[in-house]
Amino acid sequence: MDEPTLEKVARLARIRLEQGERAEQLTGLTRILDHFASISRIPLPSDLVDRRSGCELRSDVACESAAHDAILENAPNAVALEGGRCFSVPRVIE
Amino acid sequence: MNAGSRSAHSIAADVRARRCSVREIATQTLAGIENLDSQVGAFLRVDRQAVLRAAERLDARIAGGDDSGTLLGVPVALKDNLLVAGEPTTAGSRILEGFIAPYDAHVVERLRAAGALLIGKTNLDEFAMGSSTEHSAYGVTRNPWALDRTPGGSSGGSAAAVAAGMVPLALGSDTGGSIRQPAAFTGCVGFKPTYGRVSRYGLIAFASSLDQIGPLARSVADTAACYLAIAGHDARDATSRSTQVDAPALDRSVAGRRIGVHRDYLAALPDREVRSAIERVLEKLRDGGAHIVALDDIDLLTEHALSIYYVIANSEASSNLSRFDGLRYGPRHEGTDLASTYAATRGDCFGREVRRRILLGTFALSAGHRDAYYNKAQLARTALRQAYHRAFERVDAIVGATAPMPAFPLGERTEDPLTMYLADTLTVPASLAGLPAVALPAGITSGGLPIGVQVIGNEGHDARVLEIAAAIERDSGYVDRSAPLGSAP
Repeated sequence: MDEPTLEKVARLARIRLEQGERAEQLTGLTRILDHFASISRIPLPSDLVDRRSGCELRSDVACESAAHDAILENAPNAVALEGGRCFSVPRVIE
Repeated sequence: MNAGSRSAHSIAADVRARRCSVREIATQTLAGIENLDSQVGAFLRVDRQAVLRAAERLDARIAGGDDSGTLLGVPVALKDNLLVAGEPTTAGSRILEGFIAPYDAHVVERLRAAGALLIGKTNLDEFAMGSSTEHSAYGVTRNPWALDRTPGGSSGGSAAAVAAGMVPLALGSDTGGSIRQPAAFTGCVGFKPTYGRVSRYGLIAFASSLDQIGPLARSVADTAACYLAIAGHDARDATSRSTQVDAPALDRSVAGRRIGVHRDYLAALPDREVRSAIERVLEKLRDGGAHIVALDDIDLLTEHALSIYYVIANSEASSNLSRFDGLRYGPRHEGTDLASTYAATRGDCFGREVRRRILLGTFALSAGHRDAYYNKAQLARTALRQAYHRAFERVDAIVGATAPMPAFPLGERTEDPLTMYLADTLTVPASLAGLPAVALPAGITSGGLPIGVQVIGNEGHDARVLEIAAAIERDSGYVDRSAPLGSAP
């Protein structure tokens, strides 16, 4: 991994990296990715078929979810508007 | 007597027979924690008054004639990534500071129904990402067998609380070994059930195709009792299995059982004392009438399992943890716009290891790298799973080490993540294959540290795994032992 790649990945991950941390993360990530690269050498049969079983998907039916009020209690800067409380986000439309 | 050092079975029996009240159990347990936890740091939070109120409610329930719960009055600690309605849950992270759980996890509902006394929340590596419980934003947990060593992780707080005799039972979560490896390091029993056997509703997700909740205890019997209380179908977890939960016959002999042995779990181990302890377990199983079957002709892909695991787990984590954005939970660190608010909050409030793993996962999923990393890892995972299926056509269980080494000193591996990841070498395969696996004590090193043996079973054969573990426990004599607090000799 090089610095431009680290910068791109941090932007995709929405993580701000302080200048002092970049070199350390770069060293660690490069070493780990070098180790992970061994998976390219795993001999895999060409007719590989997934045999996962045992788990079932539930019916696609709407059901009750957790109480909105209790969930909004945890939101920083939740605002009260007509019709109930809402999450607040920085302005995205000029 | 400290109730925390008693077995769950004896506590439930005494409470049911009215030989003691749940309030007495609660008072003793709280005193034990107060006495011991300043040295260990297992608990993040114990609300004394709430515990006493819960104990009084249980006593009232018993006085009203309902004494049916299998864990009646038994103190149970919970890893702090499990939600308890109305209580803080941090997942060991600053990004969840101030978060109050809006509902109970499924396992919490089941424990309450079984009459358990919820005693507090235990420390963990942040978002369960770690192998030593040193990556918590709220401090380090120490191993009760040697206070200068790690209890393992990420369920190190739960393991240490059980090992020190503060509670008879605790719940942990296991994504790549986070129940079994700390159990091995602290001389406990730790069980990761088959994937889907226990609902994760109310567990803060790390890697959803791997996460599983399970118990830690000081005996296989208590482990099984807790497992039976929490296992079963729950429609709120789409991966929950609807098949019947079988109770193990723990007094069953191993005569006729086919026990698989593979060099990766034994001969290839670098630590001589770990190897010898596992060999002694296998001798006892052979003496008990089990057939020992060599599986060395099957490539279990152990050499690659860590890479497969860390690519998949981190990829899933990078997606799961995207919800922590400063808008819905915890603190918000303002930026100049939406994207910089996300980045500031996540950069400031996630710990270093969590940031590293999200970056790794994002990289593995990104355009240009996805085929080489994530897609390849998924194919390799399927190959690994098939290798274990082939093994289980020939054996009932595979027995080997839980970790390649005993508990390592605190601080030894925190600066080298790859070395830290190596502690998971022998636990990630069962996670990748979705198999039930239990770790239990197999011996003590000359330095006084516990060694853990692991029993891995075929998918859905949770009861069989526990039966074999119970037989190993009977022969080993390592049952219901609390750790001596202090440094190893």
